[in-house]
Amino acid sequence: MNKRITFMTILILSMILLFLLGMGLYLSNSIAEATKGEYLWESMLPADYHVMAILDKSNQTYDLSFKEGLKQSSEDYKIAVEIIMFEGENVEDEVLNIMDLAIYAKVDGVIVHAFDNPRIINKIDELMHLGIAVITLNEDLPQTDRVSYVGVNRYKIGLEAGGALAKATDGVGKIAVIEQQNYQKLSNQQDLLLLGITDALRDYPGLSLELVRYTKQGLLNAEILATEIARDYPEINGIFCTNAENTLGVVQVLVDNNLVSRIALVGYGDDDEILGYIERGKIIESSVVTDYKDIGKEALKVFYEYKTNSYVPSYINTALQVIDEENIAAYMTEKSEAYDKNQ
Amino acid sequence: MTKINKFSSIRNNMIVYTLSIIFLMTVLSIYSLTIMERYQGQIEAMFEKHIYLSQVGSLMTELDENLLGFLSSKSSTRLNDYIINSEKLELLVDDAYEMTYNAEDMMMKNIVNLIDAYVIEADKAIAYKRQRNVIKYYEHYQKSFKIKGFIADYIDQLNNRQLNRNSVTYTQLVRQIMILQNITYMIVIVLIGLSLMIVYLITSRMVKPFSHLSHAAEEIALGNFDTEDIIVESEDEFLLLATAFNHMKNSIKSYIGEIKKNAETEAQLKDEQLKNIKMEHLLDNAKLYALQSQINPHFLFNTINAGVQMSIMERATKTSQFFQTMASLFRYNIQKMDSSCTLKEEIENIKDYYELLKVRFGDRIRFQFNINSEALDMKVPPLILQPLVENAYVHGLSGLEEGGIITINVVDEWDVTFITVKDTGKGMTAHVADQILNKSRDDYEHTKFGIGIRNVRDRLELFFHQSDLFKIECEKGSGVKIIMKIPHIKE
Repeated sequence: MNKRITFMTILILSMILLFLLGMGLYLSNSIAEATKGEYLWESMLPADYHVMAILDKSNQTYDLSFKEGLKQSSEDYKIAVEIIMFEGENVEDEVLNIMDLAIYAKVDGVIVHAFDNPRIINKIDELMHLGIAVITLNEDLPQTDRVSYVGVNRYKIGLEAGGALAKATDGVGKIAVIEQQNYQKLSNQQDLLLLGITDALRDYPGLSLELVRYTKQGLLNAEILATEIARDYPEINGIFCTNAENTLGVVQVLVDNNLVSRIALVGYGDDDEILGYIERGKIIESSVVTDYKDIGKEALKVFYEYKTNSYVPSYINTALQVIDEENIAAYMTEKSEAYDKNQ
Repeated sequence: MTKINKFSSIRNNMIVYTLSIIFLMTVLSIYSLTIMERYQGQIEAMFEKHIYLSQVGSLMTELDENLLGFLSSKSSTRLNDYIINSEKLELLVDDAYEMTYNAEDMMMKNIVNLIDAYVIEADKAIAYKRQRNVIKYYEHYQKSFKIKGFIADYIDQLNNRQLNRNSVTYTQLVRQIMILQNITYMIVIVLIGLSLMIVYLITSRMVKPFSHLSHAAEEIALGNFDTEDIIVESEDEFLLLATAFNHMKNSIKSYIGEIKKNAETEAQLKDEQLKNIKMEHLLDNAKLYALQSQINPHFLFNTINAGVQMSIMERATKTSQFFQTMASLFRYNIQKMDSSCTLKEEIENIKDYYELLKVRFGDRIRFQFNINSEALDMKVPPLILQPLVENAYVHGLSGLEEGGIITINVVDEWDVTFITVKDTGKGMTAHVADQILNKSRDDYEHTKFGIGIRNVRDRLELFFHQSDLFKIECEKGSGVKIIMKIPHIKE
């Protein structure tokens, strides 16, 4: 065998050996890494802050979009977010219990789905007093020492919904509101919503808010309510639902009872089904959509700014939009692009 | 003397190759150990946190029991146990958390902080118990109990997460172990290949020079010394061996060359001797034929001398002169038969010969001498002119009634002297002249025509060791011109 060929063979074999050794070690290293938990972020940096998010499990606001918003800001500001969802009948005690946990766990901040309740108000103040920054969702609670409120303006939702109903009914008739109410009446914000609708209807003398019904969680409740309304209040020609689940429940009633042409429905949320009904036309007239992702992002952003700048706005409104047959195509394209971008 | 590089000696090469193989085997061993260590670490890591959390949970339970025991019985033993377990717990969780990199770190941080809070509340409960403040100690006990619940929840959550991840990790581990096994097999195969190549390299490096040497030795044994020198690229002992071998081969080749050369010289010498013998033979022949042509010159010389005596006594002067000339001619012929003579002596001899012919033929045959040479003392073979002159007279002029002229010219030209014998006789054709000159010396036995001319030519060539010294120019009816070229020999 030629000497050069021998040396070349040795060289090639050595390179293969090095490659295989490297591959083996890399693989074994990845095995060693496998027992460690996933990093919070791709950057693999440690968190600077620890924030506990205390959220209502039944509230649609805190779905994937909201968590996506939290995740985005958490990475931007290096904040580890611990999400604890509460549910059950005694939500107030649940919230207080989790806020106690936040105190004992010595977190840096709390984002809480708050209720207008004296015990919760006191607990918020206690947390603030202990140096734990509190950001409220759902309820503003300006009377507390909380850092900021982040969320949609319910009055504005009422205004938009009222306008949409007026448009759908040509400003004539009577309308009903089916509102989600998981707990006892805990919120002033509900009053703000109705106030907004009432204010919107002022410009339409022929149109009035006839009925407000509250549903418990679940699709069936909305269906029962809608059936009752259709049966007991034949003069109602417009319904506004305040969450997506109820909207879809009402749609079923309208379709099953052939009421689509009689009752105009204004829904809430941008579920694919809801958008599909708007796109097909005349089943759902329009839907009020809030940017849940923005709420999540803003909540953490305001916490970070509070920790770094100390001065932050005490009230942050997130975007609101009414989707109808005119802008449904553009909205769906935009949503699809945003989804692709996130993949 | 060829020097070898001490770093590339056979011993060092062997050490390097052996170390290479040992190194490769060491790499394999270290690699295997590292992989095993990683596996071990992985397995430990899979259960490490479970064990740790279990310890924390157990201690928490014990601590709570101690606390409750103390609060219910105020037992100092329980308090003591509480303090011991409390310290143990603090020690256990002391370095459990550093930074928050993932959700589990976050939970661990919560557990650590919650344990701190628990101890604080428990301590307060103990303190109020000692103060007999029932409401307060109960309040703080409630808090500590609540915190214990939180801790238990977190431990459960962490255990669940670990369990979930470990089940995934185990599946990955099994798959990766299979891949690693295959990689290790490949590494072993590559290492075997590398070791074989190294062994091949060692053996070929050592065997190749030996093989070359043995082949070259075989060739030399068969007598072929023209094989190429053995070239060894390495600078080790093989280089020394090859250099010595090449040197030995070239020396033998050179000796054989010298022996051959000597043999050739001897052969040449023998050839020269043979030539000399032949020359002597030719001279013998010449003598023989001279004697034959001159019919016993000694008897004639003595007789002529008697004639001289008798003509003196009878006062016949011309006859006496004639006999004296004849006697001089014969004397020259007899004396010069064995040795060389000068050109001048040769010319004098011809002049004597001419005197005799004049007596015999009177003016019918005349001689003309044109001697323009300064090299008359030059040595020439004896009797080179007389046979030519005799030939001119016998074959050229003797048959002519009117007679003729024989001209003898001697002229110098550079380093040669040209001697020309020319007659105005019958001449001969070029073909005949060619026949005379080109008959081999062996043909002397068969014909005597032209024998004198060839004899003169051969002796000239043998005397001067040159050819082309003799030339005949002739034409039928126009006489014959014989030209001899005598080179000047420096003595």
